[in-house]
Amino acid sequence: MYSLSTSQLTFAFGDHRAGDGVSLSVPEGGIYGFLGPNGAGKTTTIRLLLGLLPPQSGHISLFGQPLQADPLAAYGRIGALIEMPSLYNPLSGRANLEITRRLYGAPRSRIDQVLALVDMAHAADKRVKQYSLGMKQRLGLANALLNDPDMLILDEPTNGLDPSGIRDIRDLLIRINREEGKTIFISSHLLAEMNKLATHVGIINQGRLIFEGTLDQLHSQSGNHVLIETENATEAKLALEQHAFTVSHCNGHHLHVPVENKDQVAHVNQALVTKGLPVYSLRMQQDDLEDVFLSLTQ
Amino acid sequence: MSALSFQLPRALSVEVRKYRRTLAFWLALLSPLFLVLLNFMIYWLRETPMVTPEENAWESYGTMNINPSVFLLFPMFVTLLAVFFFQIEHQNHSWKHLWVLPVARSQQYLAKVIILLTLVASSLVLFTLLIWGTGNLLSVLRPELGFQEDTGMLAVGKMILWSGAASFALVAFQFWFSFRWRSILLPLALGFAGLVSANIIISWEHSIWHPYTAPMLALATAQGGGENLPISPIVYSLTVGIGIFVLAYFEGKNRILRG
Ligand SMILES: Nc1ncnc2c1ncn2[C@@H]1O[C@H](COP(=O)(O)OP(=O)(O)OP(=O)(O)O)[C@@H](O)[C@H]1O
Ligand SMILES: [Mg+2]
Repeated sequence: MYSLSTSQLTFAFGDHRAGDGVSLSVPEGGIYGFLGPNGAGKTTTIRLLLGLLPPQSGHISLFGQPLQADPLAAYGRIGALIEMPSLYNPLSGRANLEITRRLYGAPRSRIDQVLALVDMAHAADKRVKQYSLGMKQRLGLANALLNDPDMLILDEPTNGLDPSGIRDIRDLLIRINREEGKTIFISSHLLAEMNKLATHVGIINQGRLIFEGTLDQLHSQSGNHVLIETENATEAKLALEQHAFTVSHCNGHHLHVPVENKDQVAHVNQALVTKGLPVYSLRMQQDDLEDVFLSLTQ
Repeated sequence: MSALSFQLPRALSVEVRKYRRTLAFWLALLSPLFLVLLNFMIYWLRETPMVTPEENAWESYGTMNINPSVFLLFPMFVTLLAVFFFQIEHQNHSWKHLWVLPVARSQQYLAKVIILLTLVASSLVLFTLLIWGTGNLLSVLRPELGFQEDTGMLAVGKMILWSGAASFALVAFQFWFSFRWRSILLPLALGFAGLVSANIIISWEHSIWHPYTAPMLALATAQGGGENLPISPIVYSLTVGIGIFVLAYFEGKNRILRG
């Protein structure tokens, strides 16, 4: 069962395709990490999902219903945070929550609950103007949680936060996912972050979805490589390319060479030694997400 | 569809909370106070009386307040008010939040229309009350002006009501401009352009088709002039204004989400 799915979603700004046939499937109860570099089309896709931009073609379905059929019913089950949190700066945190609460028609008691949930009770009566960025993000999250939604749609909620702020938000999201069973769709350009948080991953680049699957599936797509330390990486690269190896990375004293098995590692070593090139160290490694990401987006 | 009718009170209660003690709120309160207090000071303090023996004191005082308002201050006030009114949403990036809440966008928009109209109307009511109050004060402070002969306030009220109703289209246009543009420059520029052009063409026989002249022409009607107008400025302004409020919603509701 998918909380959110799209098929062939397309949107262009002028003749620039910011979303190009995006088909997402966000499983119920999962944490879906929506990854992509700056300008990949993450925010644009999220705006399409929420009906803030009209798609030029394609189909969006939320909780099994087409979004257009009853958007207000869908909005009642979603909490969203898009880019900068929308907060009234001259008002206090509590007054901001009160505005959203009334529009949702949520019970009054919910305000103190969400304040406690995002750990902002101490600053609730300060004006938002005086909040730090991290505090604003938390209050934005509290706003999104007010209606006790079935799904959160978050656009880079940790943008601009320090490492401990990022960890706090991550812990909070994991908690509300595990304890309250809320589905979370979260965009990010930080691979390492999604590695710690997500159960499923979609990777978007230049408006196209280039990978979708579980985190494990993403890991299994990754292979091995040898990391070589030598005197002159450029010479070593030439020598290896003569033996039909490809060098994926090369700088100063270090080279990355993708390999399939141990024989090939020995082969690499032999090729260098016969050329009279010194090998200071030779290590076989599993590709990390960064490598997978680079190879997918290049 | 039945849910829609229940959402308007919700949206209205939110708007009322939002605008308490904001710039828009203070502007609506202080603008009439500013103008009436200035006139009150002159009528009270000027040595040569402001009212000539053959004039009605109330009509003289009312006109001194209403004319500069209709021809200058009120359009400026509406222009500024609409800008302040929407900057709260534009500056705080609220539209993308408000538009994904389970209250229909049209209902939230309608609440905005109602609140802005209420602010304008309250300001005009306050203006009327201030003229009445300070006029009574003048009857005590300078009895020789003749404010005690209580005959003119009804005419003053009529002038304010007529020109106020005829400003509906002006309010609608400035509402639209301030809603659709994040920038404050364009609505300000268009507001001033509308005001200046209305003043320039007012004596032309076709000037009524410029919606910003409607309050001026309605004032003339209330003062007993404007016999040969092709249409009542109030009817014209209300018709155009309703059209603009509807158009502005469909034209602006997606536009405001950009950026
Ligand atoms: N209002 C706009 N008008 C024109 N082009 C736009 C607009 N908004 C975004 N774009 C373009 O669409 C593309 C996708 O932008 P989008 O904001 O969706 O990227 P993103 O993945 O969210 O990036 P980031 O990580 O920087 O937030 C970019 O190339 C951007 O230049
Ligand atoms: Mg973005």
